[in-house]
Parts: sequence; C-alpha cells; structure tokens
Amino acid sequence: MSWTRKLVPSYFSGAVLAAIGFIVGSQYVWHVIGGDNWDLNSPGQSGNFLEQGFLAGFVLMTICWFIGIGALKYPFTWMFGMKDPDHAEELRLAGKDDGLIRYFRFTTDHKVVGIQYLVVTMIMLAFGGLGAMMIRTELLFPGAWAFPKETYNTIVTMHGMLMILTVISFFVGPFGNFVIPIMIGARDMAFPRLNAISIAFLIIGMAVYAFIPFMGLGDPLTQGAGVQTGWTIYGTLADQTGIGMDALGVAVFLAGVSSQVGAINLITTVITMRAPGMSYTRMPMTVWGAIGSSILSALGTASLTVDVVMILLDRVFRTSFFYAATAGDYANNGYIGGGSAWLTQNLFWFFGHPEVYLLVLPAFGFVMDATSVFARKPLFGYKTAILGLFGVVVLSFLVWMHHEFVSGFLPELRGFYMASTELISVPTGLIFLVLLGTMWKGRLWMTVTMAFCFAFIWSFLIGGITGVYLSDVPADVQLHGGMFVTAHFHYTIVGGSLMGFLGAVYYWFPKMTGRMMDSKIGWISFWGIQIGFNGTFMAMFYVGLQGMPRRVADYSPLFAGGNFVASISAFLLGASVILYFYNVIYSWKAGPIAEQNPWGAKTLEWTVPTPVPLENFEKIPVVTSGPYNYGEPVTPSAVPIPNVEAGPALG
Amino acid sequence: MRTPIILWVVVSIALAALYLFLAPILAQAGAIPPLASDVADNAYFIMKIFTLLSIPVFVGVVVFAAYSLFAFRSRGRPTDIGPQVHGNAKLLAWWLVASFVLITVLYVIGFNGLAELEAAAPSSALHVRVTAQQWIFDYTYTDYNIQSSTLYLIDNQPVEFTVTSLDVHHSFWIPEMGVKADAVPGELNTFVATPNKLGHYTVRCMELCGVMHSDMNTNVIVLSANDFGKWVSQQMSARPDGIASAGQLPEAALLDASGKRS
Repeated sequence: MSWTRKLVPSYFSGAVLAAIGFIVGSQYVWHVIGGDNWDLNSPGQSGNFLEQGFLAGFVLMTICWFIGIGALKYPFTWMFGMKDPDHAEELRLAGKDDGLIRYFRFTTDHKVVGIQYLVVTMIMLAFGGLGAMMIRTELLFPGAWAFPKETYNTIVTMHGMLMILTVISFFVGPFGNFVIPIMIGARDMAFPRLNAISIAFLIIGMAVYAFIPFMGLGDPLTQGAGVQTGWTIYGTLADQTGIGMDALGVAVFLAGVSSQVGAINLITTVITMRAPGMSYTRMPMTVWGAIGSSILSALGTASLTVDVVMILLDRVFRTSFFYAATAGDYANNGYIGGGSAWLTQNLFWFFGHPEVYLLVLPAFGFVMDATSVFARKPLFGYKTAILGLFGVVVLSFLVWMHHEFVSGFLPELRGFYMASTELISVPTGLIFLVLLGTMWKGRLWMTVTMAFCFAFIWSFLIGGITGVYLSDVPADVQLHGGMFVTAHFHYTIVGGSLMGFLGAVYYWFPKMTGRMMDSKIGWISFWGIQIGFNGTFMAMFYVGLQGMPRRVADYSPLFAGGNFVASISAFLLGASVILYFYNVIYSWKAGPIAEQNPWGAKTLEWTVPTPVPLENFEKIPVVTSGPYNYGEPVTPSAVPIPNVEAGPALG
Repeated sequence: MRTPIILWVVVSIALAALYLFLAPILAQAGAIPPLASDVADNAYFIMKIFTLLSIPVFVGVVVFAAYSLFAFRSRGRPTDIGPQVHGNAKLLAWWLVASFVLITVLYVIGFNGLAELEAAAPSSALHVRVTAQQWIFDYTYTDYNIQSSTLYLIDNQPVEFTVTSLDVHHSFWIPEMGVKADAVPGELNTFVATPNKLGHYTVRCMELCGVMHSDMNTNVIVLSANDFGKWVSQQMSARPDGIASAGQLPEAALLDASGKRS
C-alpha cells in the first residue's frame, strides 16, 4: 500500500483540509463580504463582520474536516446510488491489518474508537487539569498576583467547560466503546460509522476549543481575550464577553453532538446486539450505568446545544433570546430586547443537572462491577442496583431548579424542587447499600482499582451529604454560588467520576493495551491523589463556609489560610495525576505482558484473547448465567479460550 | 457484625459531641461569618441540625467500609470465593425505611425553614431597591427617595430588598445576613430579612459578571433607628430639590409606578 493510500483519507489529511477550510471561510467573510475595511466607525464594514468571519471559518473547518477524514464518502456514494462497499472495503474501514495508522483515521472498529477516545479524553483531562493548576496558582495568595483578572476569568471558563466535556465522554467514550460491546457479546457497535463520527466530532470540537484563548488578543472592542463567563455561559454575560465565546459555542455544540450520537449508538447497541442468553438481568452493572448515562446524554445535552446556538445567534446575528431590556437599548446597542434572562439559566441547568448524574452514573456502574470482582462475590442486590441507577435517571430531570433557588424565578416552586432533590438521596443510598453489602465477608483483593473504589465511596459520600445542605432552600440561600458549592460538586465529579475513571483505566488497561499498569507507581499516585484531592476540597469547604464567592480572581485576606492549603494540596493532586499519566504511558510502552484475565473476572470481555481480534468473538458466545457467579466453574462462553499473545506495542 | 455496629454507635456519638464542642469555638475563630440577621440564624441553625443528622450516616458508611477493608482483606490474589449472597430483602426494606424517615425529617426541617424565609414583609418594613450593574451595587430607598452606594440598614427592622440588574446577571449577597438574591436583568427579585446586630458588613457579588467581579463589594452599615433617621434627613437635605423624581432613578425605565415590569 502506497503512502498516499495510507494517509489519505486520515486525520492528517482531515487536519490539512480543515485548516484550509477555516482560512477560506473566515477570509471570504472578512475580505469579500466585509470588503477588508476594518474601520469600526463606518457601519457595515468588516470590523462588524469579525465574529461572522470566525463563525463561517469554524463551520467550513468542520465540514472540510469530515471531508478530509473520509467520513462523508459512504453517505454520498449511497445517495448517488453507486456501488455499496464490498467486504474487503469494510474490513479496511475497520482497520484490518492496518497497523498504527488505523488509530489516526476514520475507523469503524469499536476497539480502535475506544483507544482513540481514551487518548483524546486523557489529553483533554491534562489540559483541564492545567487550567485547575493555573486557577489554584492565582488563588495561592490574595490579590490577582499571577494573572490579570480577565485572563483568570478565561481560565476559569475554559477549565470548567473543558472538564465537563471531558467527563461527559471519558467513560462512555473509551470504555463504552471498547468494553461494552464485548461485555454484551457483540461483534461491534450497532452503528460503526456513527461511532467513528462521534470521536471525529469530539476532535474537531476540541480543535475549535483551542482557539478560545487566542481569539480577541489585542482587540480593543472586547474585554480582553477569551471567554469570561464561567462554564455556565449565562446568555447575558455571554452576549458581551470576548469573541472567544464564538469558538466556545461552536466547540460545545460539536462536543454535544458527539456525546448525543455516541449515546444513541450505545443505547441501540445494548438493546439490539446482545448475545443469545444475555438477558437484561445478566448484563454487568457497567452496562447499566453507561445506559443510564447515555439516556441522560441523549435527552439532556440537547438543552445545552440549544443554549449555545441561541447564544451564538444573539451574538452574531443580533437576535435577543436572552437580552431583556427596554426599547431604548436598541439605539445604543443594536439589540432589540424582549428576551428573558431567566431563559438562559433554565436552558443551561435543564442540561446542567441531569449532566452531573450523566457524569457519575457510569462510575457507579463500574465501581459496583469492580467491587464484585475484587470481593469475589456477586452484587448484593442486582435489581436493587438497577433500581438505584434508574431512580437517579428519572429524578435527575426533576431537580434542575435547585440551581435557581435565589434567581427569583417561580419562588413558589422551590418547595417542590427541594423535595425532589432530597428524594434523589434514596436511590443513591441504594447504591451505597449494594457496595457495602458486596464487600461484606468477601475476599477483598486490594488492587489499585479496588483502592479507587474505596476512594469513590469516601468522596461520593461527602459529596452527597454536602449536597443535602445545598438542596435545602434556607441553607442554600446562604451557600449558593460560593466555594462550598465548588467543593461539593468537585467531591462528586472528581471524587465520583474521576476516581471511577482512574480505577477503570487501571482495570481495563490489560485488555485494551495487552499490558499491565505498574502497581507500585499506581499506589504512589493513588495516595498522592487522595491526599491532594481531600486537602484541596476540604479547605475549599472551609473558605466556602467563611463566605468566599466562586470565580473570584482576588479575595479578602480573611480567606487566605484556607486558600493557601487548598492550592498546595491541589499542586500535590496535579503532580500525582501526572504520575498516573506517566504510569499509563510507560506501561503502554514497556509494561509486563498481561494475561487474558488478570483479575479473575467473570464478564465476557475477559473471555476473549488479548489483543482482541477484529470481530471480538470467533463464535458468538451463549450466555448461561449472570456476570458475577463466582461459584460456577466455567465462564459463560461457548468459545475455547486461545493462548495469550504479546500485546501490541502502541507507543 | 457486632464490632462495626458498636464502632458505628461509639464513633457517631463521639463525633457529634466533638462537633457540638468545637462548633462555637470554630465560629468564634471565623469559620463562619458573624451572624447578623434572622435569616442567617435560620440558615445556620438548619446547617447545624443537618450536620448532626449526617454524622451517623457518614460514620455508618465509613465504618462498615473500613471494617470490610481490614477484616475481609485477602493477601494477594484470592484463591477462593466469598459467600455467594445475592442480596437481603429484609435489610433492603429496613434501609429504605431508614432512608424515607431521614428524608421526612429533612422535609420537615426544610419546609419549616422555607416558610420562615418566604414570610411576607410586614408593613413596617424598610424598602430598598438594589440595582446591580457592572461593577457596582446601587441602593434606592423608595420610602424616602434617597440613593446611596453604601447600604444603610436599621437594627431589628425588617427590610425588603427588591433586586434587579441593568446589564448582566449579578447576585446580591450579604454573607453575615444570609441575604442572597440574583440580580437578573429585566426581572425583580425580592428578599426579606431582619438585621439584628449593629455593625459594618460587606455585600459581595456572587455571580461571575465580568472583569471586575471579584471587586464588586460594597459596605453595609446597620444603624440604630435613631442614627438611621439622622442619616436619612442628612441625605434629604443634601439633595437640591428635596424630592427625587422617579425619572432620575436608573431602573425607572424598567418599572412602572406599581413596581411591575412595564
């Protein structure tokens, strides 16, 4: 195969074409439509087309990216009635015998997509963490000493939004794609091309995201570069903030589409592709968690994508969805007014609250699975666990207004939302019952993964209990919008989702890469992460109680002690996460070769050889028992287990 | 089963006692702002109850998890399996009953507190219109037609804040008084509280509102009724016409005479 055939189409050709697309789109608007006249005082000149140019650039960039990676080839050949791809072509698309290049192109094999997701989300996590370190550097001492305030606000926004997008996809992306089809005994996802396009959406979304800090540099019209809205991007502030907001809007839209497409794919796969005998009550809990999360993703993320589209319309095309002002403002600002500022809060939080459960449900599922594996006991109440997960799914759509207890919007409904929010602790409590019951009298094997499961219990417990304070209206009125809230949701998202993710990487690493992660480095990074994490956010609870607002670049010396402790601990957390990442990279290259089933688990992904062959199963297995029946001698599989071979050296 | 239950009870009681002992000391040392209104008293009373309620829940989970960790740990990879128990209906039923009892307690506390929070302002209340804009708060005393950039309040007299914004979302917060209301452009948001301690306090903006968000603080001064009267008459006489016309107020564009949005 010649080099051109290898590289075109691939992500490299996609990147080249995307760059050309961006330049053509933006220059067309600035030079041809805008007439290359940057005199802002003459209306209708290209200065006023600044944002429109960027938007056109991003749109054309996205389209060219999809053309460049070859994602549009098959839809078009199909539309024009040309010959369907034959089997050989489908195999090539799935990356058969294609070496490393298959990780750098539009590939339909779910395992390749899973690895792509793992790498992309870990890079996103690294950048999000960098943002966190910059925030903690600024807050090390009172006074905006490290960055100017506008830069700090941009960092806060970028850290928040990037981390949310990361956590949305870092579980159902890598593991949902790689592991779940094998877990349910399928050969691939239900829609392999949709699967490949969901990661392509995420990659181009992140490419647009990377524009944010550079847009509006040196632009006198905007208040500094970047986006200064916080991740909540309330329409009122988003309307007037720097032009980085346009990039953020497009990026969030693309990442939102990515997660919705992936969610629908995963739900369909689990409904339609299960192996014979894999009934709904024989699916591992990881699958249930990912399904719950995907339902929330498919329904909830829509609200966020709508929100950013409305913000972009408000900014670029001068509509006024969120701009509630009098007619007099038209003359001054060119806005018509008549919109609602409450609408932006409602649209955002209608996404925002299901979203936090979206983030944590896959971790719930995984932690239950792992606890069962490492205790060598079946789940303590399989159906109880499903009830817990789906109780959370249903209730999570009924609680979003607790983010608006002080907004003045329909105060008479606050009682209802307080009640529904506190009710959610019942299904969550069931998960804790299942976890504790599963450990009880087990044979606890303390691997790094199991340690992360304990960390999950500890941190999510604290996150949950502090959530009760915030669900109560009178207490929330005092704590709302402060550091207490920041600490609370970091305890649920970092302490819940991230601990689950780090445990899951360690757990499935042998299957995904064929090599074991280093246990000694694993333990050191584990303890560093725990000490750093708890130190940071315990201190943040303290300054929150003292009365420190969120998202401030500068604070009163009153809060200096707590913030100093939080920052120092955060640096320890950051260093430990870097160590964990080092462990991943080092072990991927040079870790010991893994056995086929290093943990002794009973789920189907451990019955296939490592590296997993292209279509996973030689013969589709017939499942005859649940995923946790350690008493039964044979793994539920009709396939004779071949010998273990050397893993692929990916590095 | 016996050891962790004893541990649970003992540690819970010890922790609750430690909390009750330490809470006032920590409050003195500045762990919470000095409380200066009925709303703040209410909020922190509820938080105290919640802390006491959550201690047994927290300790329960931690003790059982930690006990499992030490008692059932296998050295290295386990060679045998644990008991194949698939759940316990009786335990589940008790767990659910306990959850709902706890939730009911939370509801009783919460709805009580909510009713207190939402009580209508008495007719004697002082009316303050809070107008937020980037990056200041502006206070209008509608009873006297006075404007001020520092908030003056009267000790032991209810005050009704009506909060709005001229540009983006802000949030009006007095930490010591537990007063918090989002300032939403085009909307009015009311909050009633009764300051109950003389002194100087701070207003902080609680919603990210742009570059100078972290500097959007103003002073609050709680005066006795006498001193407040002096301040009002001083302000009235300082104004050239003595009576302010509604047209001078910045939010007049938004509101008609009845205070509704026009």
